[in-house]
Amino acid sequence: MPVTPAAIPIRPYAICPPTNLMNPDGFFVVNMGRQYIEATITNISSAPLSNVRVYIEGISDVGVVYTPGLMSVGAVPAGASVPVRFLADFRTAAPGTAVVSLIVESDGFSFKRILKKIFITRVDYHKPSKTYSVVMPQGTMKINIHSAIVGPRGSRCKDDREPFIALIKDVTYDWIPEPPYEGVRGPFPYEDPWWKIALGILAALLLAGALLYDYFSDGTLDGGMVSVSGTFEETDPSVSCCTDVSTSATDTEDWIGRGLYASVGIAAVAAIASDGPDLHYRGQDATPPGAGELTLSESVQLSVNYVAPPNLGVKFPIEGKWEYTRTTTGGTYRFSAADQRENLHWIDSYEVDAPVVHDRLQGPLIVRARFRKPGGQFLRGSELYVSAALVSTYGVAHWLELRDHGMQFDKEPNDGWYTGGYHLRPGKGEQKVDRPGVWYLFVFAQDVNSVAQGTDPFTAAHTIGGFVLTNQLEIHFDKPCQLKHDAVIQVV
Amino acid sequence: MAVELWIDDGNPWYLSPDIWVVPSDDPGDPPGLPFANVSAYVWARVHNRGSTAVSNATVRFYWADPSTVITPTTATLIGTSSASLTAGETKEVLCVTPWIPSFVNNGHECLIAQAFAPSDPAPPQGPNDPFNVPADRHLAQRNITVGAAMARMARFVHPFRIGNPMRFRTGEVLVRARRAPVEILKPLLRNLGLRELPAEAEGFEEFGLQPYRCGQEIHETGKPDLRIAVSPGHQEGLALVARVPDRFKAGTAALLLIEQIVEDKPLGGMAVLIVPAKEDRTTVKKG
Repeated sequence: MPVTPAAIPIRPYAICPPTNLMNPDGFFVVNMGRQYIEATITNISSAPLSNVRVYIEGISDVGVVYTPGLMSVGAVPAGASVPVRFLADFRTAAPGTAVVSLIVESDGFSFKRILKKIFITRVDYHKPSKTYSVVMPQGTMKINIHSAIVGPRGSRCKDDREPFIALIKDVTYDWIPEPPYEGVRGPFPYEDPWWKIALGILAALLLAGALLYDYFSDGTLDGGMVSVSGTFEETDPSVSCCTDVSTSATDTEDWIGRGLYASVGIAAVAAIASDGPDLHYRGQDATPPGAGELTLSESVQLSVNYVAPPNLGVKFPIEGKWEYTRTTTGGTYRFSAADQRENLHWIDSYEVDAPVVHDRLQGPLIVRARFRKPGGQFLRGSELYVSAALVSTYGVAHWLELRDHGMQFDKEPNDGWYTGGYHLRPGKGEQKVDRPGVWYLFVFAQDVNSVAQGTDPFTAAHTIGGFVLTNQLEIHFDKPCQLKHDAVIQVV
Repeated sequence: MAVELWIDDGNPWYLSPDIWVVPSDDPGDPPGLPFANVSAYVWARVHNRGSTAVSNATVRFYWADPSTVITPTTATLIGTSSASLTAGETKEVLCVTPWIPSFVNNGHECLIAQAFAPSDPAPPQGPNDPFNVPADRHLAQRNITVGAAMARMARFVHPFRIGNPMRFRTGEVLVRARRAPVEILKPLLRNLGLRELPAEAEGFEEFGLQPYRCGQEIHETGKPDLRIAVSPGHQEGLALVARVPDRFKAGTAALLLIEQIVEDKPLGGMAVLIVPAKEDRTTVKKG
C-alpha cells in the first residue's frame, strides 16, 4: 500500500489559546503554559485524499504534556493545506529544539510519519536587577529595559489592569555564549542566526510584560507574578487608548486588546532590531576578534526613536541608535551606528466579507477575508494564519479560524479567500445561548515563517513569522488610539 | 475483547522481536546495537488484536541496567508515544525522545515497552513489583547483550543484577545460566543489525555465575546454578563468567541465557551473545 502523500512543509507553530494568535515566529514559551501546536498538512498529490486523520505520535521533550488522540480532518482536496492543532502543556518543557512526530493517515494509503522541529523558549525575571533572561543550550540572553513608552494609562480599556503596551525606548541585551567561542560568530541557538532568537526573546519579553504577565514567573520560582510596571522607566509620550468597540466585554480578560497591543510591541522591536541585517550580526562583522581570542560576551545597547506610531500591517518608519560591544579574552571591541528602517511586515489592503444580518436558525455564521500583498497578488493557503473574533455587546466573545483549504466553509483551496464559520446558538433563556443583537467581527492575519526545514541558517534568517498584518489597532502618540472592528453583524 | 493491545514476547519471552534500537540520529536508519553515549532511537511494534479501533493508545519506553528483575523503580522512562490502531492493525511506534545509553555496561541495557489505552488499561502494578512480562500482553522486554571476547582473555565476564521482590517473602534466590542455540535469535536478526546468524561456537562448555562487584578480579568460572542469599527488596551484583576457548572462530558465537528461577519458572532473564573480538577475527584470518 502506498504511503499517504502528505507533507508538513513549514515548522509547526504555537498558538496562544487566550488570544488565538500565533506566538512570535511560532515559538513556544514555557511561561505561557498551555499552547496549541498547529501544523499545516499539505496534500502533495494531484487527487483528493479521503478520511484524513492526524495525531501526535510523540514529542522528544518529555516535559511537553499532551493528551493522545486522533484528529479527523476529512477529505482534503489536491494541493490543499490543512492546519490541525493539538493542545499541549509546556510548563515543564526545556528551552531548546524539540522534535514532534506527526502521523498522517488516509483511506487507501498506509500512514505517513513526519518529524518536525519546534522551538521552545523560556523567559525568567530577576527582580533585584530588573533583568529578564532566557537560558538556551547555547548560552544565556539577559535583557534590561531602561525605558519604554507604556499605555494605555488614561482612557483604558479596562481600568483595573496594568498597562497593556510597552514600546521599548532604551534597552540593553547581553549574550553570554556557553562555552566562549573563537572567531567572528558563535553557534546558533535553534540552528538559526541568534539575532532571530534575540527577536524571540524580546518578543516573549513583550508578551510577558504586555500580554502574559498573569502567567509570568518572577524568576524566584515562588509563583509570583511580574507586571510590566516598575521594570523600567516610563517615558513620554505615553499611549492612551479609546476603543470604538469595547473588547473588554468578556467576563475575564480583554484578550483581543492585549493580543493586539503586544503585537504592536513585537512589530516595533523587530523593525528596528531584527528584520534585515540585524544589530548583533552587523556588530559581529565589524569587530573581528584577534587570533586565539575567545568571545566571552556580546552586548547591544539600543535607543529607539518612534518617528511614527508602529501600527500593525503598515510600512511605518523607525529610527535607532545602537552600540555593539564584544568582550573577549584579549580585550573589548565596539561598533556603533544609527539606522533608519521600515516595518517589513505589511500588506497592501484586505477585505472582509460578512453578512449584515445573521439568522442563528439558518446555520453557522460564515465570514471570509482576503489579503492583498504589495504588488497586488493575494496571499493564499498556508502563507497566512488567519483568526477572527466575534464580540458581543453583552460580555461574550468567540474565536474562530479562517482557512483557505477548500474544506468545510471554504469553497476553493488556495484561491486567496480565507473562510470560517461559527454556530451561534439560538434559543431563549438558556444559559449557553448566544443572544441576538449587535456582534462585532475582528479578523486577524499573521504571516507564517515559511522557511523549509534544513534551510541553511543564513537564508533562514531572512524570514520571521507571526506578525499581525491587519491594522485594527491604530496607535497615536498625540491622541487616543482606536480599535476598529472589521464588520458589524446583526444577529437575530 | 473490544481493544486488545499486544507487544509480542520472544522465545524466551525476554527476547522480544517487537522492540529494537536504531543507533543513529535518524530514526529511519537500520536497526542495530546501542553504544554507550551514542544517541539512539527505540521502536516498538504494537498490535491491536481486538475487534475495535483505538485512537489514543499510549506506548511507554523504558531502559534498565542488565538485571533479571526489573521494576518501575529500577527502570528509567525514556519517553512516551501515542498510537492509533484499527482493529487487527499492527503499527511500528517510534519513541521520539532519543535514548543515550549510559557508559555503564558499555550501553548494553535492557529495554521494556508497554502499550495501553483507557479502553484497555494495563494491570495495576506497584513501583517495586517486577514487570510481569510473560503474563501481561501489554508488556514486552528485550534483554540481550552482545559482548566481544578475545581468545587470549581466557574468561569473558558479564556483570548484571538480580533482585528479590518483597512479595516472594524469601531470603534466597536461584539464578541459572544455560547455553542455548544461536538459532533462537533468528527472529531478532534484523533488530540486532546482523546480516546472518553466526554459527555455533565450539567450546564454551565451562561457564557459571558468581557474586561480583565492579572491578573485582575473577579467578574461577563458578557453577551454572547459583543459590544466593538476598534480603527481600534488595538487589545483588552477579557476573556471568565463561571460559573462552583457545580458538574462537570468526563468524561463530555462543549464546548464554541467564534466568532467575521462582517455582521452576523464570521470573526474569537475559541473553548474552558472545562473539569474537575484531582482533581475534583478524588473527583467525591470518592463520
